[in-house]
Amino acid sequence: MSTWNYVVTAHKPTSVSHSCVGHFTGPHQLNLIVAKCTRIEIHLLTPQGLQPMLDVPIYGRIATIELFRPINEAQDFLFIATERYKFCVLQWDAEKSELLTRSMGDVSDRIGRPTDNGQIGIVDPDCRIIGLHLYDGLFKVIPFDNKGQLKEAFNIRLEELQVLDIKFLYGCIRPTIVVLYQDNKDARHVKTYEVALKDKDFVEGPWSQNNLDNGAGLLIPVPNPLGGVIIIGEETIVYCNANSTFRAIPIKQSIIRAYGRVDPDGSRYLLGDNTGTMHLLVLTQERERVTGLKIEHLGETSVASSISYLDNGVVYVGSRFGDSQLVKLNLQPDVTGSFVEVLERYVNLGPIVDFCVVDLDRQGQGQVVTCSGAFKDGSIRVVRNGIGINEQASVELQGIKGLWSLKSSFNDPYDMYLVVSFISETRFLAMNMEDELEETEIEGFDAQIQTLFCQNAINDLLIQVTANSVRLVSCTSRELVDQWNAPEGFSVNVASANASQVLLATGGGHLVYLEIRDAKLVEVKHAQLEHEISCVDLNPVGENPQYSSLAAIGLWTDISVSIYSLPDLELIRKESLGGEIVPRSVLLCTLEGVSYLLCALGDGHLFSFLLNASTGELTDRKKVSLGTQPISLRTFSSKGTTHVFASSDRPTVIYSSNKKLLYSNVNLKEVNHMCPFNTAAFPDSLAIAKEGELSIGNIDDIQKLHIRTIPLNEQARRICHQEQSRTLAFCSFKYNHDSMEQSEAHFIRLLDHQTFEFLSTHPLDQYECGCSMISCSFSDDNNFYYCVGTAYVLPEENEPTKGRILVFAVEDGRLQLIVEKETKGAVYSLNAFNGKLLAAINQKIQLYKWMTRDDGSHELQSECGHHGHILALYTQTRGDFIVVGDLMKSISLLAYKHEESAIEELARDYNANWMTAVEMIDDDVYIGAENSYNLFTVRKNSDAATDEERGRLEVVGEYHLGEFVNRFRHGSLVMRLPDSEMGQIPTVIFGTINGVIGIIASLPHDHYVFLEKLQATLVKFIKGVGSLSHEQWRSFHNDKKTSEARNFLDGDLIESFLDLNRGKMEEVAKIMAVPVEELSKRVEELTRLH
Amino acid sequence: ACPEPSRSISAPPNVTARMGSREISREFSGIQVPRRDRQFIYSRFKPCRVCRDESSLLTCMTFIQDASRLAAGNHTGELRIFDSNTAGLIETQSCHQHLVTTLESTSSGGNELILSSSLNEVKLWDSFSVSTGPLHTFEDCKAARFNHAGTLFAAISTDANRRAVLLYDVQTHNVDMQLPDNSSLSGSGRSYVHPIIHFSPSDDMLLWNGVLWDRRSPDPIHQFDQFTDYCGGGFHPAGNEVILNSEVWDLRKFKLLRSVPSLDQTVIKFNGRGDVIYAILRRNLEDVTSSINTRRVRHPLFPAFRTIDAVTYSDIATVQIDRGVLDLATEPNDSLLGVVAMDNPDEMFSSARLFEVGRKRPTDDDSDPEDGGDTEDE
Repeated sequence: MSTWNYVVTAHKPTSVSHSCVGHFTGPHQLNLIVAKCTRIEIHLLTPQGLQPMLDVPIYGRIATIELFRPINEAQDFLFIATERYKFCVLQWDAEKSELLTRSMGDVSDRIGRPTDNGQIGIVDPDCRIIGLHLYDGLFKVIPFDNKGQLKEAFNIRLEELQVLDIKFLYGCIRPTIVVLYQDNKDARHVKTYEVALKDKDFVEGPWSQNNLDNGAGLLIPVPNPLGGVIIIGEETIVYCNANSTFRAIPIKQSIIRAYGRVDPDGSRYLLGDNTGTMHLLVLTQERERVTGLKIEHLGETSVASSISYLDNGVVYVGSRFGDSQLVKLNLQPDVTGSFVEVLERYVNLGPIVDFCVVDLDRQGQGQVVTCSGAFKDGSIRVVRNGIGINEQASVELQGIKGLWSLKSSFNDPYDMYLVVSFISETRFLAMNMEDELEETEIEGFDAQIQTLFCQNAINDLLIQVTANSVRLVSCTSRELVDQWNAPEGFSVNVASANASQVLLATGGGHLVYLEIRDAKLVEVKHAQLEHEISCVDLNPVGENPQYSSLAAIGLWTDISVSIYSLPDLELIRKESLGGEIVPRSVLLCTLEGVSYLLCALGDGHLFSFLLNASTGELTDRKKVSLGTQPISLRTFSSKGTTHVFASSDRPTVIYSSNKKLLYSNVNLKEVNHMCPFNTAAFPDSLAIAKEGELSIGNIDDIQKLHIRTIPLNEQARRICHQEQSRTLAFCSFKYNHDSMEQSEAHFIRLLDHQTFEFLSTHPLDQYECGCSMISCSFSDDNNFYYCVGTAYVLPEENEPTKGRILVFAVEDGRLQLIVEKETKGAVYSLNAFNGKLLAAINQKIQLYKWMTRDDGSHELQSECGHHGHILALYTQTRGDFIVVGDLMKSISLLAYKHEESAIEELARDYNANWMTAVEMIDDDVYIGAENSYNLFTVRKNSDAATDEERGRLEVVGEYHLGEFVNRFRHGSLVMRLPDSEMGQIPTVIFGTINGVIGIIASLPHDHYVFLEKLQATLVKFIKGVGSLSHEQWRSFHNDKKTSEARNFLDGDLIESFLDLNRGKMEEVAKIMAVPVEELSKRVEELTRLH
Repeated sequence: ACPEPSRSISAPPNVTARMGSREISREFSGIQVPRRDRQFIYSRFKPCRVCRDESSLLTCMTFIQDASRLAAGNHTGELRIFDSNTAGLIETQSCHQHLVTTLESTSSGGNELILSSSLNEVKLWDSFSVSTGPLHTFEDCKAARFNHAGTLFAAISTDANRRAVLLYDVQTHNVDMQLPDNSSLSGSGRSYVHPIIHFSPSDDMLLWNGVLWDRRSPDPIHQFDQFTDYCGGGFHPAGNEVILNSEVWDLRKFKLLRSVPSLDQTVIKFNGRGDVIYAILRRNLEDVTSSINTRRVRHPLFPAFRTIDAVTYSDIATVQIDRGVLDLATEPNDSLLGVVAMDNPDEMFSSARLFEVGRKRPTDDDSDPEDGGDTEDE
């Protein structure tokens, strides 16, 4: 049974909650620090833009981050507080380029009601105290001593129980806070308090201001000399201070949640509202007194959650609801009247409200199609593991044996010719004036024979290697300039060349080394090796890009790879590969400044070695499996970076990230040969030889997950795929900001599943919104339908009393409403169930039969139902079993009884879990996510002795994920190789508010036990940032209880084993009593789950 | 004049809209979401089972064993254990000479204990082996309450010479501490309803009869001003406030924060999360017949219980059950609610009624009329 689960992140959180600017990594370095829920990113501002410096996980959900400058320090420290009441102060260690923990601690109280409005953490501008508002009615103070060290925290009783914001005021003799709160009658006021450190109490502050805008929600403290505070409301912005200055300005109704200070003196601020509009707020002043407020409309950005003004009009806009952006504020408006120019976008999948797993390319590899973003930033995103090749042209060609591109001259930036080799001929293609490929001739080349290698060489020459000869041809005249002939009785088997060198092997282990000198081929060296040579390479990895001092050679018989020095062909190093499979392709390459020797075998395995480019030493041998067929390796470059393409039955791009080799699938079935083909018409393209076809395509950005965005300008809520009609359908809605009455318009929309072109739209009624959607067929009807569950959400009702189930057929690319059935409430969930339709409607589970009337029309007829929930929000089915996730009452298990035509409850989990998603891992184990960011599994107890025990779902696993899960789906993001052990492991994908896509893999027990030990070992080697505890972070935690994580493993921690240095890896392996290679291999296999 | 609260910032009143907004951000809908959710859930109580005791009058109840059982006391001094899922009577154990006035249960360190009080004695039981008799009997005391940790209980001495609150250790059964009652105000007027002992959420303070003690000292810390009386109320689980009858006091500054008329004349219990108050009309626990005196029967809360938002102190609902309520019991998972109510005041029968929290009554449950095979799980 699958109660042993491995949880790992496939796509990290991208939703930005906080950002701040300061001098963190050095007194003269300006940094942007971005918080993405459970991660911190540190960037350096350079003239070229933002340069990432560090991206680290935090063992907690970040509640607040703040940069501050302690007394006597030359640079800033970073204060982080997590939602589970831990805090730490971090400092940059410039020598090691890592974070140093200055202090950390726990600020939880045993008694106290956590604030409903989120936690507040602030640092006094004069660095005397840190203030925290974590529980209603309490203000926690962490004082600094005069050396800048934190002292013991204490609580001060705060009378205001419904606090909206608290900030420290500038320039006060004693630390002074301003509190924005709501009273018992829901009116909002601000009040100030001085913190009396000796008495550990508040002293009534210098001023207060009553009866503010009822939408007041944000305070901006203004630095000296102006001082005071700006209060941001929904319809007014107010400035007030201790001298009873009161200035107000009306604004168009909006919700402003993000601000960024432009000037250090606090006279200008950027404000971002919920419609994505950026405003500039100016405090007009006279002799250091505020005389008025001015607000200017700047333009549109993503809906901002944080705004950080960097420098020179460049601003970082962090967003929870759309892509974060780097924008430039121009002095002059553009044609649309906007002062905002977007310089860069940072992809954000959050919030992932729903998703479906589809195999659009029919490759046996799932892709996730999400409903991402909110408000105007809503979008559909197609997330695919691996790298996409977008085919631009293709031609049918059988029997291709090799592919090379050639330039028309050595210094030409673009390729001109494509050399296509066949078993007994070679054909030459060239780009013509119409940017089409047409056949041409290169007179000096031999076209009547298979080509083994082609290359542009120095002196504007072209090299062709065939079985008989090496030919040098002039680029300009295309005529033969020089020729080297294979010795009588020998033919060239394998060859490689670069701009000035040729290395070839003839039968009998003969190795011949040629150099191009003064447009002549000169045989420099000859050697005979003990075995036949299977592959050679002399791609330059040293200083000189035109000359290599190393050659790599693979041998038959003893199955080895060797490094030889050039020009003297001395053996430097030989690595025996073991096994019986011959190396078929070797490659010397440099990725991210690190040199490697790659060696691919005939069975799809690949060895990688770190190569010392000057000595030829090989270290850090690793072996991975890429496919099952022989691999051929070739470098290519995309956007100025070099990568390696491995052609095989599972074509793979090998690239380097953080100086680590990563392997990414390519969305092609089988590739025999590949060469870069960078032409003016097809820049950065590749020529690819597949079975019977030659195609030209360009390659996506090189990253592990590829994300395609279909912007909607409205918010998508539910999505599903219908293979039969080749469509995707989704429910979405648009806010109408223009009318006085805020309103929403809801739609069902249809997309082509390949082109993502909009095909059809079905608008819903006024107040009607789409709540659920599936594609299914029914008993005795082979057609597939989209079924949509809706609710009429009337603002005056506390719960819908009416909804509909709409059944659509796709006909000629249009949504045709076939059946409509009214329900007595919101249809929160739909499932195809025994050829019928199962709906969760408010409190009830209802089963409908699909009936065909005499006239051929259809209807949904209710068959039976089951009450027993507060709100039945999520349902999943398997056979006759139904699992229900309730608003508050955890998970329950129902069963459909065919004979009685009834649905009965079999068991439930009696804990009070507020569910956000459920899924059935298998027949007996179900997984749930709840709103305190935990995952848990429950098991059906069908073998228990008593009815009472059988009626209880046993909680078998608990884990704090730290993410709000909106959806689970069975499936996988990666190609599942049927022969590998990993291919057999069932996986569930989940999507979260912060844009995380995660994988839950159900492991065999022995595997789990081994990894559990590895996790326990790694905790000792990998310390959490700020010394936060991993064990505490992953412990199940809600307002009722905290208990140790069980039957779940943290894959993110386990896979970070691969980031350890060799020494640490060996220490871990020693504790695990497993050879380090084997341990690496086992962990690498895990990384292939996502 | 105050401007009207704006709609865009407040949480949507419709639960389906809230379910939609929480999918994009928990924080987005502001501070009113939990309030609206409480209002939604704690205005709905579906009667699900009735544990009947035909022969006698049940007076009080408490949930035990993860709410899979309930223990009820009756006016002849018996303790009865019922199955919460079937309402079946599991066992009956004679317990006190006189009526059972209160029942309490606690679990700590793997043990589950029941505390039963009568007019002048208190008994401690192991909830898994009630049939083997009490673990211990404590004479000359009454109205016992466990502390939150379940390590000790407090009872009121019935010894006329020794007016005090006694603290007993649950393990040793010894008196740990005595808090002498020196108040002159106690028993003022013709008050027939006795104040209840309350422990603070952290168990370091104790409140009885308007007097606040620190557990470490027999001298009171504070005597609250008497606005109405010292009955009902209790410590707020959030730790900031004390409720005395209808008045809410600041626990640290002893300042009167507000008056909540809905709490007047009630005894209260908090739900498991501590954010909802259940209030019933209080009564003289030592005399069941007095609970049906005409003045009391006329009170609107006599046949009902009330839920109040424990954060805002606004009323959520008054749930009519059409019978005189004697006691009310909550359980930690907020799934079930138990109410002891008189079936027929003339014949003095009562039963323990179980309600499912958050579910609508079937009478107002709007099923499709065509639902033939509707299964009500009752």
